[in-house]
Amino acid sequence: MKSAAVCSTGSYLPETIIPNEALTQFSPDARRLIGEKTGVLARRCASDDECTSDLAIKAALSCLQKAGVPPEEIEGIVVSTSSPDRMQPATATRVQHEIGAKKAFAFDINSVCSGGSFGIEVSDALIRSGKYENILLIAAEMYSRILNKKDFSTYPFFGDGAGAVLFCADASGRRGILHSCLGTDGAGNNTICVPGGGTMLPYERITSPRMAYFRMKGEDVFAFSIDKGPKVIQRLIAEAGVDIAEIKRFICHQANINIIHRIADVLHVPRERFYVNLDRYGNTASASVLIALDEVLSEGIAAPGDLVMLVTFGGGFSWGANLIRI
Amino acid sequence: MDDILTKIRNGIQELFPEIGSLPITADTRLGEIPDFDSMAAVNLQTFLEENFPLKIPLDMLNEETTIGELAVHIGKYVRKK
Repeated sequence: MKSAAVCSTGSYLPETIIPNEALTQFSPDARRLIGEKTGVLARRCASDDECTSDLAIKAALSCLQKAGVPPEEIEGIVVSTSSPDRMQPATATRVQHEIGAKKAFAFDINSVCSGGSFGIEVSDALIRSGKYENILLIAAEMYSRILNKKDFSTYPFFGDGAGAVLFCADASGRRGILHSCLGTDGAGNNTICVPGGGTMLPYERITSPRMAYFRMKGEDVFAFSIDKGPKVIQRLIAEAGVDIAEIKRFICHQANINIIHRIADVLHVPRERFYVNLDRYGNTASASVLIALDEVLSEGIAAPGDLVMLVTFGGGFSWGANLIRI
Repeated sequence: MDDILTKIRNGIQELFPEIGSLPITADTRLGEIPDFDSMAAVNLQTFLEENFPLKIPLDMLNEETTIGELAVHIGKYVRKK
C-alpha cells in the first residue's frame, strides 16, 4: 500500500501585523495580560477585500510552486476551515476554481482548531485507498471576521492565516504519514461555538449581535487541552511503536504558550522541541499546525527522514495527532 | 445610585447571557456570575469605562467585588464630576 508523503508545504499570512499595543479598545493593563496569559504578542489581520478562500489560494499556490506540480495535476482538494467564506457552498470550491485545479474534487471539513489533524487523516485515507495519487490539504482561517472586537476573552488571541500540504502517493515505504489518532467528546459542543446563524439559532431569532460571534469558555478549553494533549501524544507513540525521543519536533496547535509548556512538562520533553510561532501569529485555529509545519520544513528544523508530530485540540471538543516521517 | 445599578445590571446581562434569570442585586458578587473570569473582567471593565466617565482598575473587578461596591465606587466619581 502506498503511503501519503509530504511532497511540499506552503503558507500565507496576511501582511497587516497587529501588535498587542494596537488593541486600544482594551485598557493598557488588559493589553499587558494578553502576552502574560497566552504568549501572543501580535497577530495578522486580513484586508477588507480578502476572504478565507483568498488566504487558502495563496497558501495553495505557494505549496504547488515549491513542489513544481501544476494545479491541473491535483486530484483532490480538502479545505479545513471553521471560518468559511459562506455557509455554502464549500470554500474549497472557490479554491479549486481559482487555482485552476480542473480535475480535482474539492470539499470542506470543519473540526475547528483540530481540523489540521483531521484533514491529514482524511488525506491519508484517500491516498491509501489507492484511488488518488495526490491530495492538496489546505487549512485556512479568518477569525478576524467572526470575532467581536470588544470581546477580550477571544479577540486578542486569534489571527488570520493559511497553511497547505501537498500529499503524494509514495511507494518507497520510507516516508509519509505513519499514523494518526483522532478523538471527539461532543459533550463539549457548547464550550467553543458561534451560537447564531445556523439552524439551531437562525438569523431571524438572533436577539443580540453577540450571538453571531465566536465565543469560548477559556478556562474549560485550557483544562481540556492540557488533559487531552499529553494523552493523545502518548496514545500515538504507543500505537505507532516509536520512542518519544525519536520525535524531532512536536508541532502543537498554537493556542497558548502555557498549554504547550504544560504538555511538554507532563511528558518530560524539553520545551525547545515544541515549535512555537503563536507569539507572531496568535491562534490561527485549524491553520496553525500547517503554517507551523511549513515553517519547520522551510527553516530546516526538520529534514528528510526526521519524525514530526502534529498535535491539535479544539472545539467540539475534538483532538488529534499525526506522526509524519518527512 | 439606582440609575448606576440599573446600568451595571443591564451591562452584565448583555455581557453574560448565560446569567439568564439569575437576580442581580447589590449583594451579587462578580464571582457568582456564570463564566466570570479574568478575561471577562476586562469585558466588564471596557463596558464600565464606556458608560461611566472614569477608569476602573482591573484588580477592582475580582470575584469578591459586589455589584453594590462597584456602584458606590462609580457613584462617588460621578458625583465629583
